[in-house]
Amino acid sequence: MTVGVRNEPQPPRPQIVGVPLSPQPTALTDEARLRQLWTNDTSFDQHVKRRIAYGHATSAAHLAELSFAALARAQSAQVALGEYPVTAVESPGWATLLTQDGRIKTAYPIEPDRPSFTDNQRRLGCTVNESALTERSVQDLARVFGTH
Amino acid sequence: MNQPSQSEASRTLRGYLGHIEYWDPDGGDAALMLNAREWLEAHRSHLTAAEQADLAQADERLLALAGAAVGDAPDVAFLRMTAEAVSASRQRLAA
Repeated sequence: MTVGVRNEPQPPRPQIVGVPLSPQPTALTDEARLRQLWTNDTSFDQHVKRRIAYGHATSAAHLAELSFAALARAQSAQVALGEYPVTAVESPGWATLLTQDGRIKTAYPIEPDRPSFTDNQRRLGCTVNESALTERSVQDLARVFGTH
Repeated sequence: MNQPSQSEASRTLRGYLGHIEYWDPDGGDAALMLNAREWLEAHRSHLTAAEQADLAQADERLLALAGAAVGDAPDVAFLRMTAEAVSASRQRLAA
């Protein structure tokens, strides 16, 4: 006799602007979790070095803390349409840019006296659409990333 | 409008230098490098002589990066825009 796992219908996993969110608890450190969400390891390592150079974070762990805290407070999304579409999830003071397949491409603090994500994307000739996140999306992000 | 402090100029310079040192053609944030270089150009007087020398060296490296860059991905496009800003700055300084 074979004992198998019952294939009961599962509720759809919550998604935020194309990002599948995993509600399962994990033993990974925040840094390891952030690395997993990144486009690739090499890009993540270079990104951390740049954020430290800019003074945006002091370490990969600090960057992860900042990033997850920001995602838990996300309020709006801006989608740049063009040859290389990218979505910016914006929180107060922080932007997280996502690829079309939902991986994190970059994340950085928003500096009020510098050009915005929209300003920069328009310089590339992109059209940028902005919208507030739905209440459900805000709640999902807060639930998944809101332990900080 | 608030005047930037010398420490903000130093911080921005360090960011610009770091972006060149840890350049990633697919990093997604090269716009920050362009923004930093334009900011430094507008606030050059806040840099010390040593920092201005560091900026000139960094610009040299950036132009080399831009010369070797291939493709038209957004980061490369911002790299080329930064190179254009550097070239324009050099022309102004030479005039």
